[in-house]
Amino acid sequence: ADLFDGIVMAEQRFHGEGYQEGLAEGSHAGMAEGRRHGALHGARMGSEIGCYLGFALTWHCLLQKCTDPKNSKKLRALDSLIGMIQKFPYEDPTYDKLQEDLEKIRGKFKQVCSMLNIQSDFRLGNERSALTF
Amino acid sequence: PCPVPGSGWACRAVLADGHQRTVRRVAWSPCGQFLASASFDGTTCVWRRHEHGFEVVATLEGHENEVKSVAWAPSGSLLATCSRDKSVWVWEVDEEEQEFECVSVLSAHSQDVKHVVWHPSQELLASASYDDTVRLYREDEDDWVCCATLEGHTSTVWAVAWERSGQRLVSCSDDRTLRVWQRNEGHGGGSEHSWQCVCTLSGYHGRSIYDVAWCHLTGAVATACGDDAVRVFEEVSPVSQKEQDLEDFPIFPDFSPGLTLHCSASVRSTSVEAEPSLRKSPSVSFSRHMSRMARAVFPVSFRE
Repeated sequence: ADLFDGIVMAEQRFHGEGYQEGLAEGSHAGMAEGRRHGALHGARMGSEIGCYLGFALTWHCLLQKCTDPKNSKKLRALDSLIGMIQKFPYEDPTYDKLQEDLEKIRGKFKQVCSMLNIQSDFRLGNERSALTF
Repeated sequence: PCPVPGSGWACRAVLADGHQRTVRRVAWSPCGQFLASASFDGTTCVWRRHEHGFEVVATLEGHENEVKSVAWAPSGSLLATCSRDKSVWVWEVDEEEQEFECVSVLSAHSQDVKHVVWHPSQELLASASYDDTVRLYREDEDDWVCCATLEGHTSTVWAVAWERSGQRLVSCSDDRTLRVWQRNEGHGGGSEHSWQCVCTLSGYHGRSIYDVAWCHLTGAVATACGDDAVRVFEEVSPVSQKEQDLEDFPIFPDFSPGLTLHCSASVRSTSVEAEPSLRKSPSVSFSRHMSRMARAVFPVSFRE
């Protein structure tokens, strides 16, 4: 054991220790930020799908009371949208078709809006911007 | 009394109030009574003809921005639109009621969709996009799905055209190539098919190819290119080896000159024959799976 080893290798040792400390701290901070980002993103997605579900359930209710024969197609489309939303795997963020299924839900929502003659980018009051999630 | 072809044209109608921005595409319905117009204002108008002109019977809204193309299915009961908003919309037509209902919003493309065109006899839809792919869609259990993605082009696909039989289609792209795709019979049950690129034509076009048309009578394929030329391609079977008198196309000794061109349009010869500088080693490549029936496609020069 070299008497001077401690001194000669000091810089390298501090470098290594510093790196490890930084890595640990960075990972921790990254995890926290990632979690916040994921929570925000997830909330946005949930908010969007929730909006579509509320919309679909309400219209389903309204149309069922109406006896117009043309409503059957609209009801079928609403049922399809509700079905897609209920089948969506909320518990699994690693689901491989997440984006694909979300796009299908959005597409179905737009189709339903078209059938009901509603603009899919409805504005809540004049001041607020178009619906965003 | 039928007007003599070529004797002149009269402007019968100017429909100026339908759209607020550029009208990008128009399409006649198979029955000839309706005209659809797709506009950058995000809407598609459907006009009905009557004695004294045309009137709007429907305005199809829903796209978020410019509508790039509109096409009628051969049955006349379906209409397709596509837009910069990356989606393709399929609409069902109720001819009696003159009502149009959206039956599907398909967001399979990841970029601007440039063109949609229906299969000549089936309810199968093709779309071309800025995302370099061609996609096919059909109805599956009450909903429309993307049933195939044709990848291969390395830049925007501007247009697609079907062969009369519907077994093949050709796509043209910003990457200056034409690709011919063939349908394979699916294995197992069901109506699943896969599509393969059986031929790629490169080196013929000096710039982006903006449009392609496949003649249903003669089988000839015509292209519209940014290098100011119109080109016509016809298929040959790579059998004849005797005729080699083609100074113009020395690279293809198999070319059989016994073809007749049925096109009657007149074209300036300078704009048809690619200048030598543009002819940088044109090539025709084939997939390994090309069947016996797939053939080489070669350009023919216009013989006036």
